[in-house]
Parts: sequence; C-alpha cells; structure tokens
Amino acid sequence: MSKYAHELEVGDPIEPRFFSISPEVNQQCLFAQEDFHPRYLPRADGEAEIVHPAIALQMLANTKSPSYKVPEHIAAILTETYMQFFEPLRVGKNYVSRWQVARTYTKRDKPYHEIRGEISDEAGRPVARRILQLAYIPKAD
Amino acid sequence: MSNTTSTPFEAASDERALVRTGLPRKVSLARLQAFSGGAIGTPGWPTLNLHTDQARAEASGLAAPIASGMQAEGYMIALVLEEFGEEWFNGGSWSVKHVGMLSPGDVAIPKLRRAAEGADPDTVDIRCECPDGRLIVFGSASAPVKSRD
Repeated sequence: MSKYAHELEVGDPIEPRFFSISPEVNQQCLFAQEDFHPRYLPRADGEAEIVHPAIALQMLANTKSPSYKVPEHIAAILTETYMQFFEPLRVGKNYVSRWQVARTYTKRDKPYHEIRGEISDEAGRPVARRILQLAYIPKAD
Repeated sequence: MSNTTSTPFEAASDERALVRTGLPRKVSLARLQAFSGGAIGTPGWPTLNLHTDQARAEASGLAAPIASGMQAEGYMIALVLEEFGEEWFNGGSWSVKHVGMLSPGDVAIPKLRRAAEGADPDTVDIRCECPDGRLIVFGSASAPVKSRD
C-alpha cells in the first residue's frame, strides 16, 4: 500500500503523471488567469499554441501524481517554490511529470518536504523544473 | 499564513527603480473553480476541494474557498513575460514565497520592480498583493540561463 504524502521519505517512489494539454483545457486556464494573450490561442500558421505557464505549475505539483494521497486531517501547504522553464509547453504534445522527495525537515515544529519535480517531453528532454517546499499541518477542527 | 502587509514597491530605496503594475485580477469563485476544479465537462465538475467549494473550505478551517498558490503565481507570469519576452521560456526562472491567501471578492495586483541602472539587469523583484497592501506571493524572476543541467 502506498504511503500518504506526508509519510514519504527520500527515495520513496512517486508515480509519474503522463499528460497532454488540449486547447479546451488551455483556454479554461486563460479564463482562470484572466490572461488571453494570443500566444496561448490557436495560430494561423499551424504551430501549436503555447500552454499557459500556470498549467505547468499545476502539472508540477506533487498532488498531480496518481499515487498522491493525504488523510482528511492533514493539509499540505505550499510555502516556497523555485521554477525554471527550458522551453514552453505546447498544446497537444505529450509530456510526463516526475517527482522525488529531495529531503525532509522540520521547521517551527512542523514537518516539511522538499519535492523536486520535472516535466519532460517524449524525447526525455527536460521542459520545466520546480522545487517545492511543502508543510504538512493538521487541519483545524 | 500570516496577514503580511508589504512595504510598497513604489517606496524602493532607489527612486530610479522601475515599477510595473499588471492587470488587477478580481478573484471570483468561477475563476477558482476553472483553475482548481479540473477540466470543464468532466462528470461532477468541479472537483470539490478547498479551492472550489465553500463546505470543503469550512471543513478545512477556512472562512471561504482560497485560490491555489499557483493561481496567484500565474498572475505574475504575464508581467515577467512582458519584461523578458517569450525568450524567458528558454531558461528563465523564478523563486517565490507564499505568504497570503486570496478568496472570492479579493483583488490581486501583480507587480514587478526592475533594479535601477547599474544593478543586476537580469533579475527583477515580483509580487502579488491586494489593494490594502496584503502580500500574497513575493520573490524574484531571472532572465534565461541556457543550460538544462
């Protein structure tokens, strides 16, 4: 049985997530972000439009792993993050997100994880990387 | 999270620093659901969680649904791309801390501050804050670095 997210230790497996972003999902994000820049919309020249970067942020959240789970009484809080792009994601292309627990630590008596995530394309080239600092805290009654 | 208020970007110690303000975002439940509720058209949309549903938010000890931290980060992206151009996708980066929360009815204002002449031209300060100064996300963004190592 897989562990809850807050129980993971360095080296524990996290299931990867394979995905492709459709034009509809991309445009849903444009509405969510109030960002309708033409770079994110279908192009006349046939080149695939750019996926809104906020979707890449989402797809690099460890919550997107099929194996992610937390118990009802625990909340995972994103406190700090680093992000780097190597190229824009494109609508319709196939990608995979992978994660690893880089370290576990305690801060102000709360357990933290440093999660390193990477999106790569079908050729295995890194497209984006993210480092997440996550705190796990009991939910208020 | 603390109710952190910020020193205005505009009160930078170096008066020559350029401050760019992005489009204010009026946070609404509809936009929270669009961001955090899964793909529209999925049976049972939106997925119920503390970002999309009042009852789930209250069960988590919140007064109302809150925006995902990534949604607030996304508000700043347009400014970063204005500053560095689409070339930023080819090696650009940022580093931010999440210190506040947004709920429906809040207004989120992304801001960018470029250092004055003579300082590092490849790094800018970024933040997302509310009109009352309440800070949501802050950090820095950097121009592209080519290596993928």
